[in-house]
Amino acid sequence: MSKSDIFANLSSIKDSDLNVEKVSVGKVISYADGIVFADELNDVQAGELVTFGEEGHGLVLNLEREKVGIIVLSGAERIKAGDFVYRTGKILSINVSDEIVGRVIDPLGQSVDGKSAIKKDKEMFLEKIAPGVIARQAVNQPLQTGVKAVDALIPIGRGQRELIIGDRNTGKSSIALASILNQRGQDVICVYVAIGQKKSTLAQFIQTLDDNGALAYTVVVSATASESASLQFLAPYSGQAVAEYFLEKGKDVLIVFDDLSKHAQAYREISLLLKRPSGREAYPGDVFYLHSRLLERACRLNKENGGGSITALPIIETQANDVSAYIPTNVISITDGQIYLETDLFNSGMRPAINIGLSVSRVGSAAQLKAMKQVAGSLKLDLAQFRELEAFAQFSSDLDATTKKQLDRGKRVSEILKQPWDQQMSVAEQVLMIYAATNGHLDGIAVTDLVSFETEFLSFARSNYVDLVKILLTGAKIEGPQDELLKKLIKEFEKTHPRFYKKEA
Amino acid sequence: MLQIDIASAIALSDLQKKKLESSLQKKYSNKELVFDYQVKEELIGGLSVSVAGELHDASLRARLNQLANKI
Repeated sequence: MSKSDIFANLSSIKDSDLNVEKVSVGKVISYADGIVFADELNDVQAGELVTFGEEGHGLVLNLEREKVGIIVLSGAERIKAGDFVYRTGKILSINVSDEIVGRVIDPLGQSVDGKSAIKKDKEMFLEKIAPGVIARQAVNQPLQTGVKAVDALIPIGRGQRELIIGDRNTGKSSIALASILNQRGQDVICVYVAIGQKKSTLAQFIQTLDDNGALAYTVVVSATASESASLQFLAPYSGQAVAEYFLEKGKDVLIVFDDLSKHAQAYREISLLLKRPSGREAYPGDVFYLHSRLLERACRLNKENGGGSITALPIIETQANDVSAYIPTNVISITDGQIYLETDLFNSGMRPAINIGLSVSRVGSAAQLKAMKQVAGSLKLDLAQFRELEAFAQFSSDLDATTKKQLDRGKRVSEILKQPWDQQMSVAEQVLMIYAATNGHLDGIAVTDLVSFETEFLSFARSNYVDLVKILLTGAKIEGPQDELLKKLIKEFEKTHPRFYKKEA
Repeated sequence: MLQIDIASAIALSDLQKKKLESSLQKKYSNKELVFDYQVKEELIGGLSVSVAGELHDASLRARLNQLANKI
């Protein structure tokens, strides 16, 4: 503080008028399981922040004739029956500034990574009405996840909400993680919201981000399993508040909610303890609104409103592939498509274990890069034909030549969609591989050789066809000259690497 | 019946209590008042009186808090 500031403060102290304050208070009637019931507090508003003395905070959720239901956010250990509950007149908000990038915060905006406190630039409300239709524009820019199967077949656009759904241990978080890692150097801010996860898992996740240099553009909002249900309930909203801070600056933001099933469970816990009526699967009546108001805040704003975007990747964990359970159907209907992961595929070695047939992206294809769109069209066809014929694959001896050819193509195409989670691919690399596969250049290669083929083919292209790779990176439509070059590239590779092509002959 | 909670930093003497009660009785003349006294050291000094969901905080701590908020 500078000298003049101190003097200004001193004189303001001298002049300040300290009257006896009249504040509205209530008294704690009962406290159990993170829920306080308080009497009086006649003029309190729903959603208002209240304090318990100077330490604890709570959020008013229920207003009743005799009492108010409050969820405790902090300072629970000091609450006694008969304590005062003070109104603040404020709505829940967190302090955000540019410094928040690279940090780990709790749902109330406090840093939990042991580094310095985060400076305040702007107060962002946790609950906010989503931008209206006038402020929005259609999704028209792709968000590259670096995962071949997603970028080619289920493309995600900036401002889209794409659900990642599947059983436990099918690689849901890995797809989200890959998408975050792939945003390096793309001027995209990532927000990762961990809800009800194990601390060890989260620590590992953060370590991976850090190791890959991704923490430099990522904010982690952490509400692990050891946190109270009220904090887990608030976590996605504070993540969204952080995302909106950057949205207002015209940035593109990617936000991952990992996962919303736990979020719904936390909210169910709160609702039951507040004695709200329960509905299907004991979830409260407003569990749909819980997620719809959250995901509606993902958007793509038009130029007049800064042109930023929030792309949301909510994650839902299903039990035994049951997508018709309550929460999965809700979130499926809210989002603009889903990436559906399956245990069977995962166990059969298909990674990412995406079920292409059941996964869709409802808006992303409009935003897909031209070159990718071009090559992905025939990829989809090949895969669809393959799926149809796959059942016959067992009787391969009785198949006619065309069917056999389609089967062979299908096998190779699904093989090249396999990809380790930590190896993101650029647009150029993806287009090169898919181009080679769909144009039949891989038909002569043994399926088992495709992994090593991919590495060598791509490094060959990178070192010998720099200009072509550069053009492909822009995602521009593949036209005459590029097509010639692609063909030449493949021919040259065939000549220099004969070992891949011998096997089948 | 109206419950009035009075908190002070140190215990009030009987005389002080009487004075307080009679002045409060004047304010709420047509009601039966029930007084409850508490000692809360954290107030530092002064009194805080709460009546029906309204807290009139005239403690030193409340004023220090007001100052802190102003700076």
